[in-house]
Amino acid sequence: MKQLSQSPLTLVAVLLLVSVSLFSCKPTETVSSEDLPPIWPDYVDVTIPEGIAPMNFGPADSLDVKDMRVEIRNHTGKTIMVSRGTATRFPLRMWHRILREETGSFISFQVDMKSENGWTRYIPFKMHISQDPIDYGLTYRLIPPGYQSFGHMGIFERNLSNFHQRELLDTRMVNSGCINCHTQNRTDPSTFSLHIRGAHSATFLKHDGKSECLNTVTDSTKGFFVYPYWHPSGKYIGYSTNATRQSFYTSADKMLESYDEWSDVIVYAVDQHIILRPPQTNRSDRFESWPAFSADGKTLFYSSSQFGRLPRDAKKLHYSLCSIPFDPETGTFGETVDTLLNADRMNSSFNLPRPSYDGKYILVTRSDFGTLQAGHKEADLWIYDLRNGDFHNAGGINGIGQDSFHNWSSNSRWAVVCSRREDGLYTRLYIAHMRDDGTFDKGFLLPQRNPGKYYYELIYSYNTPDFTSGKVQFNRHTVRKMVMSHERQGVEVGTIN
Amino acid sequence: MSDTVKKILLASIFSFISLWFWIVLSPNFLHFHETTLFFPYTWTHLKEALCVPGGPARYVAEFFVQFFLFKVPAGIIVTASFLLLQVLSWKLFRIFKEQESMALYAMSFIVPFCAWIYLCIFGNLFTGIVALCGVLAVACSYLVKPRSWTAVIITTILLYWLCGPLAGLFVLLLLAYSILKKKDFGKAALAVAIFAVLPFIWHLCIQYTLKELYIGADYYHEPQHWPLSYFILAFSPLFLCIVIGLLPSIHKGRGATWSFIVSAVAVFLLGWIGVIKNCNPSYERIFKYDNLALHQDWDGILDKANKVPPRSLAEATSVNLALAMKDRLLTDMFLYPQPGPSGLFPDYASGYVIALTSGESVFRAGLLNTARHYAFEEYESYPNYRVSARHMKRVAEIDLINGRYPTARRFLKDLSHTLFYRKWAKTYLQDPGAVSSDPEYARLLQYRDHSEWLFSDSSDDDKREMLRNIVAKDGKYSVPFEYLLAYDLLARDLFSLRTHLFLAGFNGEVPILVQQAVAMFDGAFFEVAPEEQALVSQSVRDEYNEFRTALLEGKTGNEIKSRFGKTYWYYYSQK
Repeated sequence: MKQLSQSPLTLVAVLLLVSVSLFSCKPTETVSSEDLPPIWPDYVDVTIPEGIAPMNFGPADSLDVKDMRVEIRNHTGKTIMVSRGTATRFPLRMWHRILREETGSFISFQVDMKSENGWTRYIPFKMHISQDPIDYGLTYRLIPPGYQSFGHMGIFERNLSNFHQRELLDTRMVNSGCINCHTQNRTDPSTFSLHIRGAHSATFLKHDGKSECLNTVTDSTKGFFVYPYWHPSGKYIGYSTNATRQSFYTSADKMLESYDEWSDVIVYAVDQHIILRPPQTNRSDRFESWPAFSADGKTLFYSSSQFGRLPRDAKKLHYSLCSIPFDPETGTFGETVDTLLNADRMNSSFNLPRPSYDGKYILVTRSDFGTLQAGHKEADLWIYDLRNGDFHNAGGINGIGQDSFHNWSSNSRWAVVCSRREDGLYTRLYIAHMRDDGTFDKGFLLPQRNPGKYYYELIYSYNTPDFTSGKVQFNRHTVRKMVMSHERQGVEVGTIN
Repeated sequence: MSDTVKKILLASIFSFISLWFWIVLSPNFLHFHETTLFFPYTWTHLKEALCVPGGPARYVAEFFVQFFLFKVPAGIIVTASFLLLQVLSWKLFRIFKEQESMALYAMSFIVPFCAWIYLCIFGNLFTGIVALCGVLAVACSYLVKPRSWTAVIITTILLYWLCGPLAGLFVLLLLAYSILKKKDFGKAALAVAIFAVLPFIWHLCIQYTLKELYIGADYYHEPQHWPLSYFILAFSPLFLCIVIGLLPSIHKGRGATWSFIVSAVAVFLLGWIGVIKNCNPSYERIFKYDNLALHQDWDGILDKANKVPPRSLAEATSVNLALAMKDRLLTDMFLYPQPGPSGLFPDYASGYVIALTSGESVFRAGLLNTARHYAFEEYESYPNYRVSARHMKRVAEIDLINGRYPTARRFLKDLSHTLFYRKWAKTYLQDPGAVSSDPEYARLLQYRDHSEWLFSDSSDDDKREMLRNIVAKDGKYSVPFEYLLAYDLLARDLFSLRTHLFLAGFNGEVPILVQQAVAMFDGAFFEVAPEEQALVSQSVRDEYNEFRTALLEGKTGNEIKSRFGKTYWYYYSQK
């Protein structure tokens, strides 16, 4: 046996076998196509960060593809990785090595697909690798895309450099309560606000190493705190208080409309447990919602609409983008409300303002009307340039279909957005890179190990995504213990002395 | 009679009663288990089950529950599981009492009867029975011979993973055995210690509460509630084994025969009483109506209603749906008890059992978005966090009818991984346009609405407005038209009825209840238009005059009811 393995004849035979098997891997009788490959997710010409997990893809859902061969080439055209199968499964380490080597440049993908009619070679497409780094990961909620009832849900953290997803809190842990709006302060994993609804209602706050459960209902603020946004100092959180309802369309084309029967904007002083309630954002003749602080913390942005009787006036509600000065030292507000985007004049509604952390832009959802964009196919992201007042479509981050809830990365070079562009029902997360001209490159679907299988089998929608610059410092046992204890820190309306 | 014959006889009697109960008396109760199930043959689904303690037992149980769609397989599966429990109990008894006593054999039916009672109670899941079978099987094979320390550790850990917290029964059986037999106490104590620690370890890994990990999460619909029947089921084998272990031996002879007869009669009698006391005929009735409606067996519904009048809102809803589908709602509605307009489309908020029948009614009446709402709420909001293939199919149906193919495709793909919904799903995956060639879908396609009008589906007025829109667009005598007029009649809203009368034409003779209502216009409420007068036959006019005369003459309620109880006038006067 030993002699046989050492004989030159055996070596030749082995070499022959290897070369035959390698040759057989190559597609034969390949037809060239002038089209881009019909792949899903659509990663054609997207811009990705260096640290992103392998961007696996497969043939588009409706195609009956028997086999697929993908060659990754570097910017010089040299083949650096080959994948074979019905979907790609790029090895993690090799993928990251390739991205590191090609940062600032691009990699191209040569895709061949085999159908019943044989092999087809499509024209190559590129992925651009940005020099702008992206944060450690994302946090989001996974929830069935429901109507009024809610079932199982959870708050999750996803490491963007691989496929690891960690469940921070499951609805089981809080006796089937609704958990929502996990919001960090500028991606800081040690500072966050989280709401729990149901029998054990609370707003859970973690800041400066302390944890507390708030009872946020007061006589004058009517309801619970809802949409949060942290002040950059961590001393305040802007919240809206909303009475959200749903009505349904008779139309076959639309399903439902969510709206606020009333809403106000307040600012919560974290250390003092005081609610600052400026009259400008608590008007009885207007709905105010979606608070957000500017990067320097001296301005509070929010959306505001004329009061209406609902659901009758639902389609008449146009939310303007407004701002009001805020002094973080004294916790006081300026007198004048500025209308940055006049909704009635522009016949649109502007919601969910998210100022970039570098102070240059506000990323805002623009839709025909209303404040909650579930079911608004026309909803897109637009950019308000804080330096010159320019307002333009955000570009490639938008898709066909509703694009709404969004947030910035800590360096303000990336944004994540919830979108229903795939099937009109389940929201998925898209990440897009911001160009220097203030628009976004084409967004890419959050990569998965096997995206076709994963997303088609996932019965949950992604919701309230945000970047996190590190692993979230979250101990679910502590949270459960505090939430179930019924001990709540009260809050009251007042001023900071 | 030999012991073998006695055993076969007893098992046969039990099987016969169980099959009769589940196939004839209460098949629809089991069908509801399938209604709340989605069982795709995917790796992801299996993986989800393998990642939680008790998940494998749940997976096996759900595999069987998908066959509950059909009553005979359902009855056979449930009966087989009961018999398996009996066989395992019998084996356990012999381990605890090394004696072949027929009295003990009769007592081995106590556990199956407990399982039967457990399954009769709404909300308890088949998983509990599968897990118990698993635990007893492992206990039997474990206790037949001495085991090593390693075997104790591995068995306890594996069993907890396979069957969930019911594995606690295994360690208690070990403990009881070691105490009664005075051996291997250390190993039993180790098993108890491992069981005590396991939930803590799992608690660190998965997001189940400690209570769920100690008591159980997947054995019943509401994970945070632990019904008494579950504890009875869980502890019955342990209790019986201890009692049997302590009982004196029964020797063969006349006494043994009598003890067999007495124990067999007592077990079967008390077991049956327990079953009867705990089964819920009202649920069975509702699920029966629901099942008939699901299969569009309108004659079946009316036959059932003719035998026993509907008693609940859900039953009335199904009967009204059947009448509407047979074009008889406006003629025969008052042959059955009517709870008012809510008997047409009960509000979703009434609960997810009522929403089954209500969802079916709004769907068939053409209120597609309302039906989608109901179906989707049902699909995702079962308290045990499971989703339902049946409701997924309904959502897909509506999305196909509404032309929302990408969304429908999403659900169709999921359904294509199931056993019994696959064929249907694949048909529409390949050709979504095939929806127009199905007669029922084609009928509903006519009602598709493109007006962007917002409604609240908990508002009766809004539902009526939606029906009005459909009828105004369609202009034909149809199910929505029947529902619209029935709504007005049941709401005693003659003003509204008047505005709706001519939205669509009547097929031939005007329905009797409409005639009766229009007859009331005359003289009482409105100036009657000639075309309205033409709707009412002379015989109805005469009868109405008789009714008024009877009222004026002060005839008793019973007299009026016996003569006019099935008329609209009588319903109208009973405010």
